[in-house]
Amino acid sequence: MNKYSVLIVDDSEADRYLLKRDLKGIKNITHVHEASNGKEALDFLTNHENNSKQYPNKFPPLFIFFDINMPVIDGFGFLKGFDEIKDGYENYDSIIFIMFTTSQLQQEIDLALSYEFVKEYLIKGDIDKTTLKERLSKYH
Amino acid sequence: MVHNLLKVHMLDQIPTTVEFINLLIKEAPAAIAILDKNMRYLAYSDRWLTDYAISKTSIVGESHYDYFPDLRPEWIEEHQKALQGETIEARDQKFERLDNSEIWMRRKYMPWRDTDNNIAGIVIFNEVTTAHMQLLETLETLKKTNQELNDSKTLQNLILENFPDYIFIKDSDFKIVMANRNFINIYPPEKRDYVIGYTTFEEYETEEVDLFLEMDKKALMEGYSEIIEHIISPDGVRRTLFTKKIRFENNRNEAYILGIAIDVTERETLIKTLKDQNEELAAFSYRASHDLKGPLVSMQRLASYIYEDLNEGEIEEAKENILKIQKQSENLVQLVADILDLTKATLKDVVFEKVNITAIIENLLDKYDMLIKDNDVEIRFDKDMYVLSEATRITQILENLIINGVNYADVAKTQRFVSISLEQKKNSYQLLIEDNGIGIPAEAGEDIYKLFTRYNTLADGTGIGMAIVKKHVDKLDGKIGYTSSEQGTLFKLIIPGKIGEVL
Repeated sequence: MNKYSVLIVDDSEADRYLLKRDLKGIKNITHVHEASNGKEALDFLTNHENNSKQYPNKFPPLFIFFDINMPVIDGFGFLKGFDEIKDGYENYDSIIFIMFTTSQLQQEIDLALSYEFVKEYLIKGDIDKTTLKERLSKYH
Repeated sequence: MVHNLLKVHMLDQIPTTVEFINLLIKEAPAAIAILDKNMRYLAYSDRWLTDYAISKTSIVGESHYDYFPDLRPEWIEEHQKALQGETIEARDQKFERLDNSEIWMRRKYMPWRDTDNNIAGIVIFNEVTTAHMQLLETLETLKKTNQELNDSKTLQNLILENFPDYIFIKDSDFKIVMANRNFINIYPPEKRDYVIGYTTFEEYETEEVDLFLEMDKKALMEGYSEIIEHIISPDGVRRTLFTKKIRFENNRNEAYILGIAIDVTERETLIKTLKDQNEELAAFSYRASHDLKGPLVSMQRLASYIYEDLNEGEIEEAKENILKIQKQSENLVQLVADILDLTKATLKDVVFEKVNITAIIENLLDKYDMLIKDNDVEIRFDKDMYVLSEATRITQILENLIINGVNYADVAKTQRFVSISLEQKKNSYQLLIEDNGIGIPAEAGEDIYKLFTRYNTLADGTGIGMAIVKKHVDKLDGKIGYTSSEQGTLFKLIIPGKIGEVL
């Protein structure tokens, strides 16, 4: 069974905690990294050398859960930023982005899904442990 | 004797021959007839024959009643009265002829006497005054019509001069032939004499002229055109006009265009403002409910986990999650309060009063005592700072800007401060709030006043604070700007009004 890490990008500490807890049931997850906004997330992803050493075979994360409304760099800024740097790193095109938000604005959903690496869109509060596990199992 | 009949001055200068008398009678420019006691013609003027369409060369000796068989009985009576010595005069009388046409006549019957001073007959002086009378009638009608026309013209001028917008008339060559005062006044003074009689197209941009011509032509061809046009008038003012053009003809069938243009600039501006405000409101509603939903959903899920944890004896975990719920609800309360403040800032009208800025700052020092001490920031300000303004608005402006300065203080700097100073300008006062904090990122620009925009994670913000500041400044008719770098930030507010207690 393939083990992997995930990254949660959300400015709400409570929401990161809740998602983390929901992911506890999935045995394949070795690490849950956290970032409180798009900038921190991009810094984490571009810090390739150090992180590869620190998390051998578990970096980059397989799944990245991201929210939209965050300060400094928001969800869309994060997607755009990632789109620009991903080709510079090995394996980055296999990272699966999952939008995780309270927003149900169709424009926002469409914009996020227009990036080919954004594969899923989940609504906070509508997802529980079991559904989460099911959704992720499609990809590994 | 001739001189009984004719009373003429200088009679003795005139020849009294029969030939001369005959000449006078014959050539008289009226219908005159001299008759005997039996109403038989003795002499008459040429006009007598022509006026009564008598085609005989001579009617001497014939009876007057042969030529006027249907004479009115009253007239025959009048003849007899005249034969008795009376002079009968009938002023202009109207009669209807047999062919229904009308005729006006003046008649005079006078007796004439022979050498023995006996009445020997009468003289009839008739004048057909139809043309004259009809002219008089026409004149009366014309006078009346003229009066009505003048009244009409007066009314027209009253309407044109008091019409709040623009009325003009163009001919089929698109030259202006008439324009009301308002229309003429949109041209600069030196050009006003070149409006009537000209197209004035040179005063406008080509695209505008093309549209004028299009509407003119449409009116000429189809009879009517209307359009809402946005133009820059020759006086430099931008106007939005609803312009109607109507074709009409004068009594020589020449085509003209009547133009009526109503200024709807204000209305259009109002419509746009309303649309913009509605969009702003819709966007705000969406964001606000979204931002409310987030913490509420988290709180729900945390609560269910707390329940789980308590069941499984995970007390520590539960305690931590309860603290998380408390934090989320604090955020919610703050968000709702900020939304309320923003709504109040937008809605309330400004009422001026004496505002003690020094006292406001001292209150803030009290309220945020712990935060200021934790961040170790010195608040610098003067005593006795007063302005004439609105206390609530000034308070919220200061609170947001000062506490932002405290929250974004730079730990790397040893002497951290936020300073507030007040300076009177000409007709306004200037409020400066300066700090040596971490600064606002250069890319931010004017976006910092946008709702729900946050540039820093250091402080928990709802992203509404700066929008509230901007709304208050706008309502006070003021301006706000800032400069920022890593050295710190300076906010400059210029608000109309005076410092001090007196207006």
